[in-house]
Amino acid sequence: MSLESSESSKDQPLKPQLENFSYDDAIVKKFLIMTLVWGAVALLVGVVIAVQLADWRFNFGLPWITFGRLRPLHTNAAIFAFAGNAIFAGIYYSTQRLLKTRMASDLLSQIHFWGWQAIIVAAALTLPLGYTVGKEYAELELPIKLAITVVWVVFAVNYFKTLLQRRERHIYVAIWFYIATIITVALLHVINSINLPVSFWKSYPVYAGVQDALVQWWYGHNAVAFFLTTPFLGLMYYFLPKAAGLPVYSYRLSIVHFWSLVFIYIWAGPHHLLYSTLPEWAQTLGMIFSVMLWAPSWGGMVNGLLTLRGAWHRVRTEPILKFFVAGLTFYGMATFEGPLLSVKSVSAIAHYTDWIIAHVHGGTLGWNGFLIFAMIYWLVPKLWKTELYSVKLAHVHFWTAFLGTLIYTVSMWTAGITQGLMWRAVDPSGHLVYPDFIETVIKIIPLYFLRAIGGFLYLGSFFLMLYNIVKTIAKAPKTKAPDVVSAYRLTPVALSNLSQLGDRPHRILEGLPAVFSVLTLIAVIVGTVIELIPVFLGNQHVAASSSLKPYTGLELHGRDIYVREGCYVCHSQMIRPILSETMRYGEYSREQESIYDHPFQWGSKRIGPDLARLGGKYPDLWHYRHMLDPREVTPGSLMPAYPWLYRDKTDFRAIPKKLKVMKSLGVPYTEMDLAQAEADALSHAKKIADRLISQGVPATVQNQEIIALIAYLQRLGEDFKKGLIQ
Amino acid sequence: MNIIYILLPIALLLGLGFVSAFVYSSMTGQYDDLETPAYRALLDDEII
Amino acid sequence: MNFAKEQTSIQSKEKFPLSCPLCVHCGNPVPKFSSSEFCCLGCKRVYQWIQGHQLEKYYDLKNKTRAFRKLNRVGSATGAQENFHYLDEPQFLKLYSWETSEGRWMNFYLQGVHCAACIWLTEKVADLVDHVSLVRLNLGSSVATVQIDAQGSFSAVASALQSMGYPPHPVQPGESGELQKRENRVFLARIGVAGAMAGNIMLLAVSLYAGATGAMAEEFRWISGLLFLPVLLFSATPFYQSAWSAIRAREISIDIPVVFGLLVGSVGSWIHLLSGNDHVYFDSLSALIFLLLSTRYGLKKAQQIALDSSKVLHFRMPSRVKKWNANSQMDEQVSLDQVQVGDRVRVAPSECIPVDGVVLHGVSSLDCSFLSGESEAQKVGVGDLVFAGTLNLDSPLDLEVTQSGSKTRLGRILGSLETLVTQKAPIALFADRVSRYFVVAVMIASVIALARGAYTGWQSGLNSALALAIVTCPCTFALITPLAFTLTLGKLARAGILVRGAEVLEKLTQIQSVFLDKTGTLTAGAPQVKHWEVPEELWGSVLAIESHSVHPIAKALVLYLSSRVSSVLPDLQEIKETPSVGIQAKVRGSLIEIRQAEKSTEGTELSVFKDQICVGRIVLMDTVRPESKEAVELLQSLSLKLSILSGDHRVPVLQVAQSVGIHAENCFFEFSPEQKSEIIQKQNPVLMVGDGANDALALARAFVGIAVHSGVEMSLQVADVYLSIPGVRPVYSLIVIAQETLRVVRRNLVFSIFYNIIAGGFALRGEVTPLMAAILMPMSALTVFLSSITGTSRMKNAFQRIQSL
Repeated sequence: MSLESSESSKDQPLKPQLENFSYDDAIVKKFLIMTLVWGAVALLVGVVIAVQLADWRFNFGLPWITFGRLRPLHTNAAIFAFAGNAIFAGIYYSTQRLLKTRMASDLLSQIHFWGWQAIIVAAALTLPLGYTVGKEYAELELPIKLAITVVWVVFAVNYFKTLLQRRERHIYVAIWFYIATIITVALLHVINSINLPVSFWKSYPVYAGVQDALVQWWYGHNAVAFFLTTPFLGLMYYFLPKAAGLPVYSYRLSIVHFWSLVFIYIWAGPHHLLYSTLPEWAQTLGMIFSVMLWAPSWGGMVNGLLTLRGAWHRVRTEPILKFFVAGLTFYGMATFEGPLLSVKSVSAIAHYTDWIIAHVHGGTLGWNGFLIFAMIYWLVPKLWKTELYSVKLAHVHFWTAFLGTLIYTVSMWTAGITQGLMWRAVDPSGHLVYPDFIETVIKIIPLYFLRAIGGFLYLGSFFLMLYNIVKTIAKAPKTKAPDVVSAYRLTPVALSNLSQLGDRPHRILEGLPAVFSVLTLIAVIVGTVIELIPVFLGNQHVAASSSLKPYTGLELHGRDIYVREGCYVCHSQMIRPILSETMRYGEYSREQESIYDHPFQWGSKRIGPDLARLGGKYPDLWHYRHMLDPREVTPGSLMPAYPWLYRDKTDFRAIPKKLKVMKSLGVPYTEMDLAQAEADALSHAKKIADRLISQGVPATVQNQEIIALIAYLQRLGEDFKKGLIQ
Repeated sequence: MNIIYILLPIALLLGLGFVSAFVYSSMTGQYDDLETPAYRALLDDEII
Repeated sequence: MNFAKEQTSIQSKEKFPLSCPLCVHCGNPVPKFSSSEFCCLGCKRVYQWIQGHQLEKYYDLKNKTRAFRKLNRVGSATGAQENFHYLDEPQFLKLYSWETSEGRWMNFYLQGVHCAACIWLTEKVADLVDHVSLVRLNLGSSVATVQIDAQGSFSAVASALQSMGYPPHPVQPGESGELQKRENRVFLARIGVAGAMAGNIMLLAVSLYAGATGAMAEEFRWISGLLFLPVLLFSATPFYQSAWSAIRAREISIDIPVVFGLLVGSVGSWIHLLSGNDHVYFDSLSALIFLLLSTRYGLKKAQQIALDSSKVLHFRMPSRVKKWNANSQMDEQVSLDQVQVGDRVRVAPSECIPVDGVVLHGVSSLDCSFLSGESEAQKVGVGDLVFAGTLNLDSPLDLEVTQSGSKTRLGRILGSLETLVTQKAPIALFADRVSRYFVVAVMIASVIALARGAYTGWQSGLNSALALAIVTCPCTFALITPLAFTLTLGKLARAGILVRGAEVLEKLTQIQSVFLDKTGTLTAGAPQVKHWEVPEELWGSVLAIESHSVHPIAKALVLYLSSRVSSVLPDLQEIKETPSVGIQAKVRGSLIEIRQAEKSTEGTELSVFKDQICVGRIVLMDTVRPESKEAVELLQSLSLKLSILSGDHRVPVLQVAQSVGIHAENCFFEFSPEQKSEIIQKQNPVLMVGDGANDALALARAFVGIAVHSGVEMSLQVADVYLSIPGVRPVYSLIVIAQETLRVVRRNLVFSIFYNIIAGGFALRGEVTPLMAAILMPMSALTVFLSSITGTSRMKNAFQRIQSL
């Protein structure tokens, strides 16, 4: 890393000056406090949606708090708000200490903080209102996505500038993990957020069908990897040694497992799409790669746990070490369960079931949560220069949270395996043992109650911590002056040492630090990608059989309602080539069936049955009565009711714009379709409404949103029935 | 499945980016001494 | 966390029973006799220095963090302060420091550096001593890099470090230091590139094996081909260089088949790629390079540990001498090289004699352990001959110079050492010699494959030749030696036995006879009390008197009494030490004298007088180490001819030989360093086990030289093996381990030959698909790896025996 020391002339030797400076702990305090605030929000929403699954009445029929819209809020809040703020607090604190330098620009730090909180507030408002893109962990609409990109770049610039002005020559392993996080999350977010806007709060992703699925889960898995694992490993490598007062077990191992993780990690993703229409070889690649990930992950866990060698008796008495040990053990468990789940035969049972939810929460509640708690208990006394209010309370928090996590994961394991086995059960005569789906749901409702209790314990223990921290801060001394520390300015000795050895190629590299080259690298990629995509995807649709018609205007509007209400959160649209599934749902899904789906709605959970071949299975009237009160049609169902679909009117004027945007995305609408878009939609709606009214439905149904939704639901799987797809 | 024509180059370019970062860090001697950093990280700055 | 701190302090107390107090500075148990809370004078002086400079934070840091390594006794028990003026002399700076645009640099090996607090304390020197810009400690190698500016002086830094409790030894950087660091960095970069590319190519290959077809499969092959280029051109260059130098030197090394397999594989795969054939082997080749590079790196690192410690300067001839100037009738400080034959030189007590010469005036006793290896002081008077390198103990001596500089006896020894060390020709390793036949076999087989291609179509001929090159790739052979030796060298280093290189282990299996040095190796090295007949009430005063003298006998007495006297020491008046006669002092009115009687048969005899009446008798002998007898029996069980080689007199040598079980006719006594070197030359291949500098010449001359940790570390620079565990016991286990490592290498050889025959068979019939190669190659590497890891049961308990020492 070169430093242009302009003022010192070359002949007079550079005497390294001792410089006094102070760390920017104010930003750390801000992020820490917001971690507590958003942690409470995320966990609260988590418990609410858990209860909603256990008992549908807790949806209260209100659109803003129905499960479909709250679940994305929970995932976004937990990952980006709770874990996000915690990571930033940890990164700002540890980076400044490890590099012995204040953050390069306080302004950029502030922009990063306030920008990030604004994004969270925007998400907390738009998601309940139904403004969502419909892609898991990337639901936020385009304006917020752009804001995230801007704030992230601000953070990256500030971070790399600090890295260049550092006063400690060696880059500690935790810093490498932060660098990897910043660069890769930037890339993932950009690639997965390329949408074309229809209106300010509505946009369609440029990818469709299987392409969108692969990009989504390439982003999805790596968001988990590079937002919930690498930064937390970085935090672990700094805060665990500090809290235990012991050096990392093997610093060499941490370097090896970092670089082996980073060189090939970006290939992960396809293990979310096993047995889908993704090509066979991609699925095998995903499987083998995920099993390979087991080694570097356990490298991290072993390195962390063995750091406590010789100090295990302190785990008995110190809550911080308890949290670290439990967190690392959950990390080991989750990263062993992950590769296991990505083996095809296990995925055949576990995919779409609650086992996946158990795996997710083993990792998030266990690994991320406990590590954040440990960091908070260690950081707060240091930042506010006081002692923790009550150590006993911290112990209580640990045991309650630990119990809550165990109850959560065990109940979900049981529910997941029960679902998986019941769906597959075929009696000797070759018939499904549980033909109608609702039997498998009713069986596990008690486990949903148990999970809600687990979540409630976790939330309760969180509030114990909140109380403990507030009391600690309250009794802290009110000193204003930050501590002043001193360190030697880093003379470019390392570099002149190299030049002294006379290696010509190195002089050139000196001027262009590698890290900035990686950043420009990404800028170049993003530039090329944005031009390339339309070109690539445009011609690809033509190859599909020309007789395959895309969604009509009304169906497309119905699809947007499907996305808005978050139906993909409970329903999947992907029938896997497995006997028990083809017997229950019909022919397995083909790639062609979803090539016009911007975004793809294959879904990743089956709390409700698969809808890929729903078209024509039930009459319109069935859907009409089902959406109003699901229990009237399928007794015992835990699906919420959607009364507002029978109140709001479809906005037919917006439909032509939607078709125009789809056309620019390569969907083959003719000029005639665009011209008569609105008229066609109105007549289509009228046809459906008249048929319903003839069957005794009140006349007010005309133009209600339910009509559009029914149009879309009846279209699912129709192309295949008409033999347009082989 | 030609989305791979976008995902693959990105994955490889990012990989190459990190390889170049590794080579640069190795050449500037970040990995000469892999024992002391673990201990140096424990030393807090003393406040003047 | 407040409770975190008290916890750790309680924890450190648990280890030591409360009854025995801990030294406040270094935590070792305090001997009962001293009332203070320090275990030795050294610790006391360091503690006071740290308090004096307000660095108490060192102690709470020390308690908070766990140590990197166990701290064994550091510095001299008597707290003697070595002066470091020689560090600032120009010609020393030219040799030991280097200049950059920022200032002047020097590396110091620090004894006793063991935890985070040591880092904090040593790096504090930059603030304490002015004109010091930077002190940077590497805990692993215990080497601190110091940077000073124009006005700074290294001697100030060195004395600060010594007073902190870390006696510094300058390390010669030399070109090899910087070059080696740079070479390691580039090697690591090569491994990084090879690893990353191998990982990504393997993932592309998995997609191909899992059934990707059509245009995409073609692109994957092209991408893996392109990704393979940096591995081929950048990562694999060490193989090309060593193969090319082997070819130029006309001898076959293991790298030639590696390069042969690599080139044929790469060119073949590229031809297939261009001609549309889907048999490409980029994944196997890149994985091969990555595997070979990492095992080579492991072996290089394991060997470097031994080399580093040998570059440390342990012994330093004084370069300033007090010369008698005839016309100014005065002594002036002169540098050593200005002294000619015939000059008069004065040597003060406890100073090292810088030249060979004849005593003109003064009587004193000399410690010649450096040259003869014997610890008993040698009395010298007017007219006696003295040699450079001995230590003047009692009183000042005036010498007339007969030889100086490199012509002195010590200079000649050091000179011949230099040539011997560089001449030691490395022997080709066993597995490499066997691979010579393997290379020829592979060449012939591929020629046959190509020839067969003549009538079955050149395509299938090239195909099977390519497959043969890949499958019978020498990775198994190239892996054998580095893997087996890296693991053994690593385990030995961790057990405290530094072996200079892999070939040393092979040489150990070829020795027939073993020469053992007596003093310091078989015996404890310093005289110990054998017979004690002194009245109880005098013990305190004897201890008080003796602790003032630096004489080896005095040290033995202090050691013996320190664990027996618990009362507070009486204070003394009129202490007088007459050279080579004895020492006396007035204690509570009565005159206590400890006089040396003549040399009796069974060791040195002392008599204790109280007011001129003889009240006690003490006999001191250099006793045999308890475990030497068992160690010698074990060596004899390996049917090795054992003999003792010592500079000591006939009687002690025969006594030790008899008590240890070596026949009298195998004992060679009163041997000078030169004679020792000649007898070894005659009986080579010989294993020499010695400690002192006097054995250095013998150690360098021997087929394998083992330096035992007890005396001066000078012999460290020339020995092939350095034992940091005192005594002879580890030698037997070391030989067993060497033999077992060779057996593991032979077992690996059988595995790889077996593997190559099968794989070669398939390849010749042209049925080796890339998938088969991708599976066979790692499997064979894995078998070799596992067989090296498991080692043999005999090796395992040999290691256990070393651990238990």
